[in-house]
Amino acid sequence: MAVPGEELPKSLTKAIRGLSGHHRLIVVEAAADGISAYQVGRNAADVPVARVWRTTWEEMSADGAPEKERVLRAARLDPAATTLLVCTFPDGADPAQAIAWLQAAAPDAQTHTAPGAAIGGLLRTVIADEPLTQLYELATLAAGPDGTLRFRGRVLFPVGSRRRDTVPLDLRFHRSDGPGAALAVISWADRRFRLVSLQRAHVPPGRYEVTAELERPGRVRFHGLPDAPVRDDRTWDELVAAVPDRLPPEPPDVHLVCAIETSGPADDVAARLDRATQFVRNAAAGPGPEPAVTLVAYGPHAFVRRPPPPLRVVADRRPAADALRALDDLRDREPDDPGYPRAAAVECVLAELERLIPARDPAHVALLLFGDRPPHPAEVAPSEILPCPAAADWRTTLAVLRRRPGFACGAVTDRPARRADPFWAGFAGDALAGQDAVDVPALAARLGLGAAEPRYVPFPFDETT
Amino acid sequence: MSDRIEIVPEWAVWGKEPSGLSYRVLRCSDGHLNDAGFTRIMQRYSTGTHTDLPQVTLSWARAEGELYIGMAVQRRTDERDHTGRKIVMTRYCALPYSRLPEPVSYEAIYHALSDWRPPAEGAAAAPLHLPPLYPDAIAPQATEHAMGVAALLLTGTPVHIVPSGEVPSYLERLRFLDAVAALLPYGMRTELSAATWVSSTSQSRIRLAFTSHADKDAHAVPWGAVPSFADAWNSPAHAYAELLGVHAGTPERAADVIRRLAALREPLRWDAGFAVRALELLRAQVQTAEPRPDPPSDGEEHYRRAEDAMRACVHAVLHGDGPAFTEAVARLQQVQDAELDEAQRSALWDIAVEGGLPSLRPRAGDDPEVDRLYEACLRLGLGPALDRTHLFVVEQDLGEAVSARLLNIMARMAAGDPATYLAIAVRLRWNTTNLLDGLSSRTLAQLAVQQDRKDVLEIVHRELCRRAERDPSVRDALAESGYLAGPVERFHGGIYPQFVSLRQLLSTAFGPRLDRSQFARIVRGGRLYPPTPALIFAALALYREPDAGETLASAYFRGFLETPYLPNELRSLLEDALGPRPFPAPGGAPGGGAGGDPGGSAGDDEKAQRRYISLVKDRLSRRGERKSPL
Amino acid sequence: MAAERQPPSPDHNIAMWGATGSGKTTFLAALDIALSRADHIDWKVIGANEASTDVLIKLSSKLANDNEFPDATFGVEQYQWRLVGQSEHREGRLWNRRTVRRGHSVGLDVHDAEGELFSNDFIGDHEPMLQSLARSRGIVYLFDPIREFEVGDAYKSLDGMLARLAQRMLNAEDAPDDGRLPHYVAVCTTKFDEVRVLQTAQNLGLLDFDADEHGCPRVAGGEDARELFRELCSVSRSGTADLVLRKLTRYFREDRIGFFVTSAVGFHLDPRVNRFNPRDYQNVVPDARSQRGFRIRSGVRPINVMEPLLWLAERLSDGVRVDLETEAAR
Repeated sequence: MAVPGEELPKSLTKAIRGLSGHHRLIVVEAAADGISAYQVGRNAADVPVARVWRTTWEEMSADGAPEKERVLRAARLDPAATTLLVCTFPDGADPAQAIAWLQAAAPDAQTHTAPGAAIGGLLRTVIADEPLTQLYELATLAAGPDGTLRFRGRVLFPVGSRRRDTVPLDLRFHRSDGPGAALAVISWADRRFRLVSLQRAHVPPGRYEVTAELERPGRVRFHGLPDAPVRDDRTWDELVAAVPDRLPPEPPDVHLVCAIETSGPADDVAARLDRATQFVRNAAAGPGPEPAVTLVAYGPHAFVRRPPPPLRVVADRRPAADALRALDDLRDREPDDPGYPRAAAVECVLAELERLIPARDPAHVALLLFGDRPPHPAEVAPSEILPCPAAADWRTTLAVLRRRPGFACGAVTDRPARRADPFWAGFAGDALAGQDAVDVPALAARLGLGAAEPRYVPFPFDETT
Repeated sequence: MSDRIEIVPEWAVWGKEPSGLSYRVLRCSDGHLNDAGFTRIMQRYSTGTHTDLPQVTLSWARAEGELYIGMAVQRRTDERDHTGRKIVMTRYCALPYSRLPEPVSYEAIYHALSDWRPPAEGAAAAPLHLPPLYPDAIAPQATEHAMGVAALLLTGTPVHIVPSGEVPSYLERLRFLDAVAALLPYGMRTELSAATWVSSTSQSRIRLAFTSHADKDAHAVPWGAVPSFADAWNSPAHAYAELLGVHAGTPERAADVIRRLAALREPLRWDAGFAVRALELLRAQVQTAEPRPDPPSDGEEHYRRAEDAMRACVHAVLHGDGPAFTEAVARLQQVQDAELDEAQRSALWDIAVEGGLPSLRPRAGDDPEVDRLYEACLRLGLGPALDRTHLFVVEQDLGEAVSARLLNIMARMAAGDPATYLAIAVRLRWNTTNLLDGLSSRTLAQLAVQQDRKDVLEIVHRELCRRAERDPSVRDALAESGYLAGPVERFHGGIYPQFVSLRQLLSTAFGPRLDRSQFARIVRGGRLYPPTPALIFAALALYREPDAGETLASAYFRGFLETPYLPNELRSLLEDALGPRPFPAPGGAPGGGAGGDPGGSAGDDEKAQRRYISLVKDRLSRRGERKSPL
Repeated sequence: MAAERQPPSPDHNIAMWGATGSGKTTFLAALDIALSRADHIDWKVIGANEASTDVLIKLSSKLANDNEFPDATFGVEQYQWRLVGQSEHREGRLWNRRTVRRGHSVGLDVHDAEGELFSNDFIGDHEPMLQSLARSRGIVYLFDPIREFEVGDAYKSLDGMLARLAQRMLNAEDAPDDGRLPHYVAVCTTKFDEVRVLQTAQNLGLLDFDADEHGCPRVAGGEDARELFRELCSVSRSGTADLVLRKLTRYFREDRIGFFVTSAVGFHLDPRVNRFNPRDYQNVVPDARSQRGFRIRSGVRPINVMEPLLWLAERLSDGVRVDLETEAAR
């Protein structure tokens, strides 16, 4: 049953297309160096998959010549399978002998002679050229009217699609956790879906135009993402479990307000400015929308006839980059005279912020104070700290600010938190840290700068209308 | 410096601890005086409330048979007391009178006490190092005013000096107190109290003090005025004043009187009749002794005066005390031409340099005082005439701090030494054209080598080139200074600029062609100035004989042979190697010995020249030297 | 209205007595300002000699112009001042009745010593201070309640010196029969402008307010002042301050002790309305640049500073009525 060499691809295509269920195709290649046995079958997603075993002539030889038994074993013949025998080195004695034995053992097998042919590559090409036998979809999510999330398959390739077929996609990605967003290709057959391939990619939140390309049955390639997808080892169950019930709400706009005590010893002031800079940088680097930053520089009241204002708003809702520049400018300035040693105009800072920030500000306002001295009281107090000349009362103002939705405040003090003036603990509560021991990201998170417990959505949303 | 008196004082520190409640003795020595004793002294000689500190109070004490001369210096600190007031610290020392081997001045005690630190807890106190009283230093202060005040003290009534207008600095006031004390028998210091200031409303018991309004029970003497004895014309005090006036009229005579009074060290109580005793003592001193000739002008004497004035100057600068500075500079000027030996000059120069005097910046405006100071420092420290060594010393010691102003003065002092003058003039960027004529070529060449400065080298180079055409002595001058090859190498960067410079020098000095002996002499170099590669190239460029190579080798190595540190064994090896050998003359010309025929035939000459050019052209013909015969 | 000149009355020695930092010199510095500010009386203080005039100028200028407290006193300072003033009298009978203005001049020989000299802990010579006190007939005794609360050395600065003084004077041949010292003592509770002192007075219901445009609080001299003094003694850190009053009444005749509540610098006034503001009245501001560590916030308005001295002057002048048309006397 010798068939000419040119017929081999056609025979392979025919044999592979004929595979179904548990039926297998065995291709035995007798080559110059030994025997390769290829076993081709369809997997659960009906994708042809080949395996190969190789045995050298030496391994099959005893006393310098191949042994029939060993040759047959190496060929892994299966009476239930379709068998193709290929001799790629017809000039050799061993391959010829082997083919002869194999033909005897599998009389139904087609035999091809294809000198020099690479059977592995040929099989790959043939398999890749196979049209899809099942529908391929991408696993995406959609939010229902009530906000609950449901899976929805986005059709990628219908049955019969072939290699290099492409399909454009419009996908929205939300924030995903460590391993990244999952691109799961599933196939449908008999109303059951199978996972064809699972890839992951680190995709920043946003909407992307993606092209899916069928590379071969069982493999889809995605183009257009900032990060090339790679194989994902998570299980399907894991992924499904990671899908929240609902879409997490959009992070609100953030308004970071830093008030810095800029009077006092130069080193202290520089340290405060450095910390403020860290917070602004941290907030700007966060996942959410870029924060607006307000900067206030303040000092104590001067108890003289014509006192200079105790505070200056050096940046009012500026982008982080502007705010960082303003902080640099402050750093370049000579620090203000320490002035009254026992208090600083924190109360006036609060009053100014109450005025500056509209009551219905939709943004999340995080107020951070960098200082050391407590506020001036509103009136003569047992502490004997001189009262604020403007009679500003920090308690009242702070209460007003605190009642506003989305307002949070914290402080970084020069001294360790437990040694700072008691005012600071009352003002900042848990969000209080000493200059030396401040954990910038943690404190920022406590103030709602960057979600403290981010909720991830592992699958993309199909935005195609 | 060496004859300083060492004396361990009894001492106390009076003040408050930071945030402290009350003033008290914070620490004190454990001698005859205890803290109660010190407290009484501080209280007894309290000068009241001050707005201006520091202040100095001179006092005395008596404990367990010992007499003490005391001094308290009050200074404000930055520490604050319980009520937030700045704390005033007083450092007090009491010198046991019996253990003072020689008289000392109050000012000297003040300076020593300023430098002195109380010992660590449990440690022994360091001694004060005091120079002996030096009458000549005090004499200029012994004015008629001071004499009158000293005599007035003999009335037994306190004397209050009342400045009108600007108050002299506390150091100036202390110096005045010192002068007054020096015009009394030294033994009276055992009961003398004086202060640079007392509060006019305090109830002080101080005998002599500056204040703003004299107490009604005190003699009021306006600052600078000669007190009147109209009310006491027949008192011993008046007689004392008269006697002083007669015998201490000039600084020299005042110094003599002070010296005599300082010798009267027997403690003298200020009790009844003390004025008469003081008068008798003075009279005895001024009458018995022949008027002594001027103080011996030996070096030691001058040195002490100079050192004293120099240190006073340093101190005045340190404390920013203008009047004291002026006074000290005047004293320096008086002694600046004294005969001193080298060791003394060197010690004075060290004091001046350490005290930053020669590098002192002038005050705003024209400050002739600083010029005077500079000159005095230079004259005392280096001598009346400056030479190049001195210039070197000044630059070594002061480095960057040598100012144009100082150089100006140095130029003046170096007027007798044209070379040094030129070196300074170059530094000051003066026009040197006229200065050069007075200098021999030899001196100029030496200057270029020794000064190690590019500007000097350039000027000398230019001048020597200019002279060389008509002055054959330039050749010798060049030879002695290694043809300036050393400085040229240092300042002319690459070898090519060096070569150009040296070739120019050689060709102007020797003409376009060297003869063999000239060539040999140049490349041989001197013991101190071995030839540099650039010099050899320059010489070669002017000597294009066929034997150039051999002459070079033998002459160079002959120079090398003269190197003083060459072991004899090696020297003989080299001599053997350089012995006369058959000379493989390319044109059959004989060669070998020194002084061979330099001419040769013209054809040979051209040939050799071409060969030479072909050899060195690649290396030398860069940088636009196209017109050169090379 | 004819003015007659009275011969100047003899000088009276008045000694300042009080612990370190209790404000003796500041009190004196405020005297000239207090007299100048008083609208209702015609008294002034002048120096009796140049030195004392200088001090008077320097002290008040430092306080009023520089808003600084005077430097700490060292040793014993003696200021010879003179209170000069006029009083009006009705003289004559019936149709001959007329108003006479009479000039007065009271010499004040004020001894201002550093507080250390009063202390029992002082190991130096007590004699100069003792002489000064023995020569005096009037004593301004300053009790600093803040210092007493924080340090508590008022008693320590009183009893030792008082015992020595008694020994000196009561053993003398001309000792008074009643066994009391002959001095008049103006007991001044100082630093009325301090929060704790004012609040104590307020809690005790002792506050009056001036009827003038500033409306500053004040504690009337006499019983009210004595009550505040007693109350403030009870919060002494050392617990010995209550002995101060007992000692004073034991050593001096009770009718010769006057009580005053004073403030040398007075209260800060609200600059917008130029009135006392109970919300914000502290007038002493910490100031690192000042020698004293503090400065005055907004001008000096002494409270009950001239009153004790005029009271003493009146008593010592024995017959010269010094009309105190002041709030305290009303």
